[in-house]
Amino acid sequence: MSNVSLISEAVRAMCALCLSDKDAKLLSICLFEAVTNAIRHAYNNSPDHEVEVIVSIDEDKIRFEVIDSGEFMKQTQKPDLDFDPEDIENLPESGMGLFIVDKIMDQVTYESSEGKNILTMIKKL
Amino acid sequence: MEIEERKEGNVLIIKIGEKRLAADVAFQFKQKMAAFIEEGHSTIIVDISDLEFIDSSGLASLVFTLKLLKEKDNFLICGAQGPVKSIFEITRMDKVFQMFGDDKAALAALSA
Repeated sequence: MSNVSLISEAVRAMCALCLSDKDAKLLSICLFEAVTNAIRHAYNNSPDHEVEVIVSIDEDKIRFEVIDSGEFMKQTQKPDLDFDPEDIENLPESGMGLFIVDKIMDQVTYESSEGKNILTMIKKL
Repeated sequence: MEIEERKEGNVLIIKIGEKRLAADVAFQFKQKMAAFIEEGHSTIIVDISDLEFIDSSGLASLVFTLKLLKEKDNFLICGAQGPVKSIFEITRMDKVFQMFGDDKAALAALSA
């Protein structure tokens, strides 16, 4: 997990070249969520597996690709976070990560190709 | 993880002395908070003014703590700012937790 923190900090620094400090940190949170999601769900927290992160910055967008070769996560609907703020017992303690990514990024796609799962996140500049 | 604690009357004030509350430390945080509650602390303020980064696991650790305390009035958060505050707003967790600008404001609310 310390490597994931390092990657997200590196991404924050890259994004800070073209975004506000606050937005760069929000994007680094998205990247962190995506990588920890891959570790948790694609690899079931099993160690010694690779997660590849590709960061591209164009004139008009920043693109993150998070690539793993683990289990494909089936999610057909946009992530939702529906809860009653007054109902303490039933407040969510999971499922918030992809919701956060979906709200912050402008475009999120997930696909599988040749044994690799690719989560692509795009933020328009 | 670095946590400072102090008491103001029967209120335990926890200041998170880290810049990140995320998946790598969230479990430790949950353990510490559970231990405080086990010791008998029933009204807690968490000062997150030093946090620059919170992920869903960090949020979940705060939800976990609230569930242990069972009452919204007994668990207050202060100091959320910048991207951390945005994460609370995006997830509507700002409607769950009582949130204040600083520990003084949180303590004043408890005294009211």
